[in-house]
Amino acid sequence: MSQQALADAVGVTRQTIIAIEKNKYSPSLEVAFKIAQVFQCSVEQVFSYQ
Amino acid sequence: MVVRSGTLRWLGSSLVMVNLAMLIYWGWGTLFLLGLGFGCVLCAAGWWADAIDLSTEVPLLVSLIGVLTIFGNYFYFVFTNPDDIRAGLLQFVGAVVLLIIIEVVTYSLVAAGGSGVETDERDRAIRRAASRWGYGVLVAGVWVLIGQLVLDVVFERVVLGGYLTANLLFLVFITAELVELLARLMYYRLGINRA
Repeated sequence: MSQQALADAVGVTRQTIIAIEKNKYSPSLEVAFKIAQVFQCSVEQVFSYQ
Repeated sequence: MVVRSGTLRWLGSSLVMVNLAMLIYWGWGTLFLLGLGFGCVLCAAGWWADAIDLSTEVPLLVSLIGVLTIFGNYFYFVFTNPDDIRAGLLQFVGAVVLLIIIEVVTYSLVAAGGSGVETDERDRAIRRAASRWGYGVLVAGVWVLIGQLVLDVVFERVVLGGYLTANLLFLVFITAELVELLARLMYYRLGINRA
């Protein structure tokens, strides 16, 4: 899945997806749950607290 | 964006070369410095087209360079010619008009690029965080000016006239705006988690 496709599915810009991947931005709970929903897995499988 | 990175690089370097030549030939000039700054921005956007968010970071950079150059020139004129109020007002009107034209052209180019200026929660978070920096500078500057005015009243002296005080207040506003723009750029570059 491309960054743009994920961004469109979640409702954010592609730059935000890039920032999340590079650990430059922590998304809101809503966006985190939407990303997990897109990949059909739980939030813990996508994100971890450091 | 529709504009290719090669075109941006070509446009930017041409602008830099032409304005550098004019700056060397004719000396100091706001327009040449502006051209030089925009040329550098376009060139940088062309080189790092994949890493830079053209729809948000380039307009911010253009605003930063525009405000810095145009109002830098204005304040230099005002504080070196404090008695020439009429010319100062004309410079002020010219600076505002020039800045509006630059902002309109920049945002029109970005909109014409096709990507559209979309904002999401990250943009709003960055704007909020940067506003705090700008607000801090604004409050500090206003308090310093108030202190200066109070000291003038207490010691019955006039260090600054009304014209210069108004311009100092305006300088505080512009500095706060510059700090906010710079903070937004830093947050976009370094990330809002670290900056």
